[in-house]
Amino acid sequence: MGSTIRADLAPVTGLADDLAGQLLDNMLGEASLAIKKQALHIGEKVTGGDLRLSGRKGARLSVGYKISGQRSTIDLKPVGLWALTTEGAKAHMIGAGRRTKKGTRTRGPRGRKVLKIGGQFVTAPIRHPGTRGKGSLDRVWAQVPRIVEETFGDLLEDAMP
Amino acid sequence: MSGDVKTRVIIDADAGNAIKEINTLDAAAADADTALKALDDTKIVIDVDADKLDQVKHKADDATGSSRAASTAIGGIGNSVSELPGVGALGPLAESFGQLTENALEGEASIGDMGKAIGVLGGTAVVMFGIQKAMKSIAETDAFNEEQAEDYADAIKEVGEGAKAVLETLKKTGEVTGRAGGLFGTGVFEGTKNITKLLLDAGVTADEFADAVSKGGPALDIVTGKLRVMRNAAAAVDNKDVFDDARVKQYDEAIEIVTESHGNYADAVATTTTNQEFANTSTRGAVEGLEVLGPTLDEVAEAQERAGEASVKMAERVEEGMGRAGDAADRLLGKLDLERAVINWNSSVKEMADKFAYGIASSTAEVNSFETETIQTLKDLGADPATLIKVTALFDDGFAEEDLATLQQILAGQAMRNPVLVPLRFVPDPNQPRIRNPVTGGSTPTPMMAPTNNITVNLPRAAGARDVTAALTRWARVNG
Repeated sequence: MGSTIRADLAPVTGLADDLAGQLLDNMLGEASLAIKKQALHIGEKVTGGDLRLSGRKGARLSVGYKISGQRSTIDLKPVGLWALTTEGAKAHMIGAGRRTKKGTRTRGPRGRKVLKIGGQFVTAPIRHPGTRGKGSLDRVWAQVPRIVEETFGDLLEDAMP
Repeated sequence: MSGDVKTRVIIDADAGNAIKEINTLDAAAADADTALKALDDTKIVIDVDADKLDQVKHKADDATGSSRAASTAIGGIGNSVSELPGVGALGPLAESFGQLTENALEGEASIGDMGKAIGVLGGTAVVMFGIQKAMKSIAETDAFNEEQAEDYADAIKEVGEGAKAVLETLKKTGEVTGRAGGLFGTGVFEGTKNITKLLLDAGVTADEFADAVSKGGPALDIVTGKLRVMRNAAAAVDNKDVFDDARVKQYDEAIEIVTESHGNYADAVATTTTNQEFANTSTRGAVEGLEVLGPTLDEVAEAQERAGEASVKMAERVEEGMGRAGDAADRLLGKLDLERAVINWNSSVKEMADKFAYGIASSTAEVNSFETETIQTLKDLGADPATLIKVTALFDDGFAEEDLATLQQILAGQAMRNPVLVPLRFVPDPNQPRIRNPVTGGSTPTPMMAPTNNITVNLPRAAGARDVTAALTRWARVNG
């Protein structure tokens, strides 16, 4: 008996050893990296390319990931910035201080340049009209399954002779 | 707002289960291979039985060949000859001839070629036609006349020639050459024509002649008696023109021929009997062959039955093995969809990839765990508030991998590019006058002015007064 069922399935069953070793690390690593790149690409689109919002100097959309065992944890940060680019912001005051527990209001950064509009700084307090959400996180989540499937699939396919 | 935002993706590659399922599939495939191997072994047994069956088949062919020919030749051809019109008029002669035909064909039987047998039948039919034609006229009269006698003689001659033709045909078969020769080779009727006129003169009828040849005894005595009467008459007559010594001699020969004819006929009958025995022997051989074949066929049937049962068992084992393989594959499908993997690698690996779980963090608390832990760690290490503020600012701006270097610099105290206010502990001035406590006799510093905090401003070399103001303003904003 030349060919056997076991031999026919060898390309599949041979994956057992690979999945217990480097193959799984590679799968997680490449999938995580691909998700990070895709998230940053979406971040660039919603921020105009620099991953920053004009009113928050220094704040930048970023993505980090960490692989431990069979798990990869990918974090999109800062939370607030991703949330702003996802859901937008209601109209609000900038530099008007904040309400304390006693009911009084703190002074706030009155007189400070808190926003740059059209190349000109605007001094607080100002009334921000709010922004529309751009669904950045939703767009990222929509891509995650495809990226994982394709990345895992490509590596598994390459692993099978 | 941000409390509901999910900003964490967790790819949970459950390779442990996948590996387990793959190993299960591998074991099931091994089981199936074992079952298939056993089935192949069973096929070998069946092949061996098939060889036996072939051997038996050959035996059966050998054993049934003669009986088959006998049944066709004896039952078919023999009967056909006997039933030919006019043959019955020959009486024992016809019977003998019919029997001869059957026996001749019996000899042909071993050849098993019905085409030749049919050829023999055709030749026999021609001969019988001649006899029929002659005997038809004979039957119309009880006595011989010269013309009828000549016709009879011609018919007999034709029969002899026809019979020889039959013999020639039979000789080609190589089987009955010697057997039929007794009747026609030396010739029962070989001298018939020569004595026809003598028989006619002696008043011998056709029936008397036939009885004499076939039965002998009194019938033969009648014919020979009549001939002897005529012979004696010829011997006694002085008219040599009519009855001379030659005529006497002819009657003597006629008597001898008739007598010998009976002997030849007896031989022919004996030969016929022998041929019949041969046919019977062949039939018995066929029967014996079938009897021998019977047990063998039983063995074959039993072997086939055993092989069938083994095949069923093996099929069940294969089905069971394949079932287990299928079950394992089904289980595996839950993770890797290997059913399609066998059929279509490309699509299946996509399915496999799809089975790896991924998830999204459910709360920002999870996201912030790193920051919280980091701050706490810094506090535990005794980091000053300014450092904590700086690190917190990094977190607020989104802490990324590239921020690690910055964090390390902060922790090393080398990141003070801008003035940072460092709050100091309250230290009593030892030069201040102390107020003695009248009760205790102790003294406290004289409250000449409110206690103050000393603030140290670390400035880079190029810093100016504006930087000092900015630092103080920032300190005031933080500390209220």
